[in-house]
Amino acid sequence: MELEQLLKSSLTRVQAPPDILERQAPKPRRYFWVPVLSMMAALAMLAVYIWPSERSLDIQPYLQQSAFTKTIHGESLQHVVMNDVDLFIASPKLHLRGGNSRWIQFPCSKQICLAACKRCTQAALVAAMSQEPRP
Amino acid sequence: MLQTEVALETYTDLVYSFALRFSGDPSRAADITQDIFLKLYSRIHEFRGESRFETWLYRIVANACIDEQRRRKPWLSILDFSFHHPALQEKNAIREQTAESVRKAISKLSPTLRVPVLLRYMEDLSYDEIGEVLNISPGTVASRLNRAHKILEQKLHGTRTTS
Repeated sequence: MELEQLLKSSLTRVQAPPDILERQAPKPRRYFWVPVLSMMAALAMLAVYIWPSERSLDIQPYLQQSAFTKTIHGESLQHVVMNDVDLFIASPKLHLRGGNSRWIQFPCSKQICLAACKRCTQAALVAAMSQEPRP
Repeated sequence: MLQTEVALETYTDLVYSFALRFSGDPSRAADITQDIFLKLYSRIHEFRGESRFETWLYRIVANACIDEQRRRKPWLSILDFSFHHPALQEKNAIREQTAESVRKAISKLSPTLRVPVLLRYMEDLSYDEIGEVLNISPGTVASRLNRAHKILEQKLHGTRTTS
């Protein structure tokens, strides 16, 4: 048998297994979402970080009128009354718990933590303040 | 996109056959086929119709086979011949044995010789078409096929006289 004939008869086309494309790995285009989602998450985190400093402009006028200092649990703490919301300027030693805090930068370069006031320390602070009349 | 995928899937047998004859192993052929289809799905937009679609397809298939061969660990080729896949067995044992010997001889050719042999004898492409696929001149195609013929002649001498 001639070599060329032998090659042609041996190299026949075969049928691919029917599920060959169904069992294929995920297509790479799906992975394009990974960097996109990562970037969106990073932007969201950045927005949360930046947002409170923008809010500080709104409460600045109230700060000068109603800020006063209180001593709570042996710590000196500035207290701001703004409508029906109590805000507390954290002292350096005040323990602020939780990772969900929102920080607001005041002109005096101190920071206030809304989440800590509402979730962690508000009850104790309100209880302590109720013993003294507000100015 | 769905139409494109359906259209591409009509070439599954072609791609799988080429990969199988190149690698000599069904599981490797399946892996190569899947890799090729991943490439086809992601690169189909690169096809601009300047050449025949089959030419473009053969180019991707040939490159994928050669790449897979390069990536492959050398010691794995020793294992290839220790397993015999039952799907490749046919009723006519002698004919199958001859064909198997031919395919085994082809699988031992270097990739630069193996690809033109497969394009010529399995896909029935002309020298010009093979040259277009591999981006080489028809003269180089003829030279490579000639070298492949000589090597195969030597390896298949016994086979040809018995068949």
